[in-house]
Amino acid sequence: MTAYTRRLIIVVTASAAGAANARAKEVDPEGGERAFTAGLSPTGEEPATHYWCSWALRESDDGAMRTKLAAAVAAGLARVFNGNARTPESVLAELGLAMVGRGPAGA
Amino acid sequence: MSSIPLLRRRRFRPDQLPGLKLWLDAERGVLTDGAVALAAASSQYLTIADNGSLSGADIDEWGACWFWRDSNADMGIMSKYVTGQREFVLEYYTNQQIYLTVSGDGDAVTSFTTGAISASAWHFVMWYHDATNNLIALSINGGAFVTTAHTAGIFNGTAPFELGRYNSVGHLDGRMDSACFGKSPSGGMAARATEIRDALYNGGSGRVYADLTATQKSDWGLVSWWNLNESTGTRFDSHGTNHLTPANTPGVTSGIAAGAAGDSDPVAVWQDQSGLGNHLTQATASKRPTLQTGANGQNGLPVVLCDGVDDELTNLMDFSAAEYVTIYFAGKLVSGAGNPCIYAITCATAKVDVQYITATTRYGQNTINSDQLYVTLDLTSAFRAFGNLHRNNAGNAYALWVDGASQSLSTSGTPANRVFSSGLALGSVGGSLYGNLRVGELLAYFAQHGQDEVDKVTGYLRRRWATA
Repeated sequence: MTAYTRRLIIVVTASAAGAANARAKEVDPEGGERAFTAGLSPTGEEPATHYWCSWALRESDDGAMRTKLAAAVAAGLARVFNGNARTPESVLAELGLAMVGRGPAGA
Repeated sequence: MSSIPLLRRRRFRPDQLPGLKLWLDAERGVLTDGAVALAAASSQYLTIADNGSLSGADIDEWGACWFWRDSNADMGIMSKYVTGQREFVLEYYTNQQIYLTVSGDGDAVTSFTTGAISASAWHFVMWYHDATNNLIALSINGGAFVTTAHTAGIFNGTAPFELGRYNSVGHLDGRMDSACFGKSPSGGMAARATEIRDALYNGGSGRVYADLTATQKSDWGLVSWWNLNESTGTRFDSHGTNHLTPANTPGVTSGIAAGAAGDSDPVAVWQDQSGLGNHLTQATASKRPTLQTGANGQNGLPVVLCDGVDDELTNLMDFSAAEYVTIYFAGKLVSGAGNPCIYAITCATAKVDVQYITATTRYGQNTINSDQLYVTLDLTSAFRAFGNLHRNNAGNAYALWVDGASQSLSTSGTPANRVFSSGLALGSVGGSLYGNLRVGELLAYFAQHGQDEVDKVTGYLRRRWATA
């Protein structure tokens, strides 16, 4: 049985991405600084207006990450979704965002 | 009349063909990186009652582990030590140093310290008692052993062996990973200490039990090894039978050394089975795919699932010297949305990737923009075995087999030449176009495969993964 029973889909504004990566590094010291590097925008075109991640977490880290982002959520700079109950597609639809660089081919 | 011996044809294995450079199999070498999380406030620790395999004597004896502290207090790391039955204790003290204390009579002790230990970081600690030279020693983070004299051996007492506390106090507030204990190494402690230290420290990456060779286990006198990857319950001894009982429900957290992943565990490392060490890795926890086993797998075998949001695994294998690269994989897309990439080869300029185009259900090799050699195929409908032949610096030289059948390819745009360099990404084109996909096996040969080789490899994949 995995300890990673929680999944969070977290969307942050581009302006808040640096701080969010710093908070993620407090939970994931090895690579958390790169948690929010997948870009989103209303059109799917550059520049990214938001960044997101879908993160499988232990229960304790789920709580820790929510706490660390609470101020950003309160300020409207971040949204935190239960990834076990929501699909990434539904989150994008709710926020009116699309993944950046999803053109016909991206190589 | 002489009998004719029955000949049994051997089943094909991918490493029977030359040029195999990468072999990823979700049944083997999929690693996550757990460690035991101990909270001093909850008095958590791991313990086993005294027994002969762990008892002291005037013999060579050693222990090692990775240690992480969250706070600054007196903390037992590894011990067999209660009042009147003192053997040894490795502890962190509030002056930010590690102490090793050893007793030869259960009471009087020799104690000394070395090295500063910072908070919120992994530290490797190894200690030993050298019975021949009458000294005890400590090494922190692979550094030189610091020694002090100790002539009385180690007491054979009744104290339990414990991780995370000593003498019923000093609970550890932090993490432990890859702990081990040994006795009487071959050739003596003085001859083996540096070898053991360097192998276990591993340049700061640590080891899991599966990394050790039979010779190492024997030469080092290994008694017990605890990977400490378990989510809950008993922490099992991978080498012996000194399984540790948890007290007050310790948890699991990220570790320094990786261990085998279970169902739904994040995948930090997918080990290359070719023997070349081209392992795929992901250092960022949120970007790790998950292992899916049992009913969530395929044909009774586990698969690696990329979430299509930000999951990817990468390596730095060098493609530059290859004229042809034939890449096989067994898998399927969970979702075809968003033009997902299956894998990508890094090139001097941009990349060559194998990608699925959502609107047109085209699958094939892309070199730039919409320049693609493709076949129209719904990749979400079934688990399949694919063979992809790429040629270095030749954008039009691409061939594709689906479940062993050669495909007649169409062309979109003008496929560009790409000069292969170093790096393979699975589940993305290397930072974008993340694919929501399930992969059971992936093989890369630096060779130009034709139908004969494709029949062998895809036949093997189809048998294992029960593809369409």
